[in-house]
Amino acid sequence: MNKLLSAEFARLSKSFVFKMGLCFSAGLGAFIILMRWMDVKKHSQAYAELGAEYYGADGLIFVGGIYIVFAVAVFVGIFIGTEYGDGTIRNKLAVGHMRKNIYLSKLAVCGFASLLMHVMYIVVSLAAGSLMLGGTTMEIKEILAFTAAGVTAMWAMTAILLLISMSVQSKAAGSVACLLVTMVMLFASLTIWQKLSAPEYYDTYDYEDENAGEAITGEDDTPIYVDGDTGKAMTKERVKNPRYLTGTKRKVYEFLNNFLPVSQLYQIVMNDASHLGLMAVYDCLIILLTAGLGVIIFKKKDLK
Amino acid sequence: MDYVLKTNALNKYYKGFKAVHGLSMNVPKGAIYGLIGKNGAGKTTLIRLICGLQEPTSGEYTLYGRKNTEREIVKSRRRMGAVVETPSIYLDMTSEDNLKQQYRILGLPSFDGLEDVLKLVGLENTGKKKAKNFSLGMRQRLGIAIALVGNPDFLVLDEPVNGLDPQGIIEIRELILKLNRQQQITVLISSHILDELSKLATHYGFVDKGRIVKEMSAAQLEAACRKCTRMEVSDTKILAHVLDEMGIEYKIFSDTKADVYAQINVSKLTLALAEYDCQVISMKEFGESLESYYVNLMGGVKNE
Repeated sequence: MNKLLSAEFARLSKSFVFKMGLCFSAGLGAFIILMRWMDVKKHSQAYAELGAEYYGADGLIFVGGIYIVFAVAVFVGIFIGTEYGDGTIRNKLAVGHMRKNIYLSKLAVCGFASLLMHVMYIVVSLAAGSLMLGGTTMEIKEILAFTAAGVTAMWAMTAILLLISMSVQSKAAGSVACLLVTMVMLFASLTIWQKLSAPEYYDTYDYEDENAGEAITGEDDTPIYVDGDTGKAMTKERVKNPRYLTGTKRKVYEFLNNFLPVSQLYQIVMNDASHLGLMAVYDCLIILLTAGLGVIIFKKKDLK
Repeated sequence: MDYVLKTNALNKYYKGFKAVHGLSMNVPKGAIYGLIGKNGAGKTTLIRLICGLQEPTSGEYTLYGRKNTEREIVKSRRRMGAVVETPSIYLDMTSEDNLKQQYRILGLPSFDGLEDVLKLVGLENTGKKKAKNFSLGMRQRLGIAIALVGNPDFLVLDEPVNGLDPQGIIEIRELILKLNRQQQITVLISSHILDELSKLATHYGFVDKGRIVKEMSAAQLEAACRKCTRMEVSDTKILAHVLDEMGIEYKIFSDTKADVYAQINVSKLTLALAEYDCQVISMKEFGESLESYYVNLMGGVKNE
């Protein structure tokens, strides 16, 4: 296993795709901060009123995870696909390395690469944010907790992508499959987040009296508002949202939201720290399950 | 006799298709074993099985005395190097980096001998040129160089001269002979180019429909190949009459050409022909080639 790890890490250090991934992460970190800095310059008054957490780097340090997961998908697809495409995986098998060790060494190296890409974004955005936006109001403990959660989510996502690319013996097909799965997971995560964020009740406004001129309180204390444009009086009513998820359906969505690595990354982007521990447990479970399944599939695979 | 590789009733089926079907063969130590067979005969599948890229459906093989079902087979594999179909090289690396990767995969403590291997295959002056810019012959030689890392005792080469120009074919032939004679490396080589194989092989295995039809040494093949004298005369009808009288086997090709299958007394035959006013224009001794033997064994059309 150590021999394989040594060879894989040496290859990683020379990998053009990996270097491009690191550059993308660093560039993205700097770019997002630069965009915010330009916006703050343009609307300085508005940002000053909003507070330090808005004009600082707070909301930007973990945004990159959503984009970097695509860079990781491209990297895993090409890095693993090349082994099949160039046939170099045969060099390992022909000299007696066990398939389980080959698979696990790849999981370790690809996971490490995704970790570096993720951390690179955070470090660059933090550094650039400190220089251009005056840093962040987040505590170091909080930053470290989100970083660790992001890294485990990224590692779990890498494990899923590795399972796909090791199962497909084609560089092109593997890369496309990795990207497609990542896209589907992102859309699924956004949908899940949207559904879970839907309010249980929403307010409806009805016109009360077309001739009324100003806001008054009704007889039963129902608040009456005035339409700013027309000057017409309106009543506000709380109505149950039919799209609000309840019962088992909500529990399933909540489970998926915490289970899917891309959903986890989205929660981190939204600075939602309520389930970080549970997410880490799910990530470990995903890594173990995909690695186990991947080893079984790879062991049975007829290689060309 | 010591055998490096022995297979016993080896089978490999793909969804009903019998790629290898009850194949038994023996590769003696120090031999250059030529595997001969048409496309789809099962040569490459056999090599994939031996290299551990695929598992046999049933049957077994023994590599350096260890059965493929034993865990210790990995130790035997460390004594072999292989080039299966296309050379297994990283196209985005130099020849030196490719070899260093294999050193790491094998866990060799240093890169000692790397230059010697490159020199052996004639790639010592490729410098920083990446493998993707190599000619087909250079890639093939790099593939063999990778297979030679770690000083293997057994080299498996699948169609090593496929697609090479005449110069490339000569270079690979000389390299294989050098490895066999100077370093006593046993070589298992499959090829379509029978003439080329006949210049190398010390043993032959004829494969058809997934099984060995005939296994023999080069000496046995030579003994089995019939010698003949190709004669050009003014009239083959007269030649046929004279040979019939002498009780000699022959084959007429045209009005003037015929093959005579016997050690003939030239003076006696010439005088006999002269009596019928038949002139002998030329005589040439021929030995049946590997190609003729192959065609006779497998059936098919001989290329005159």
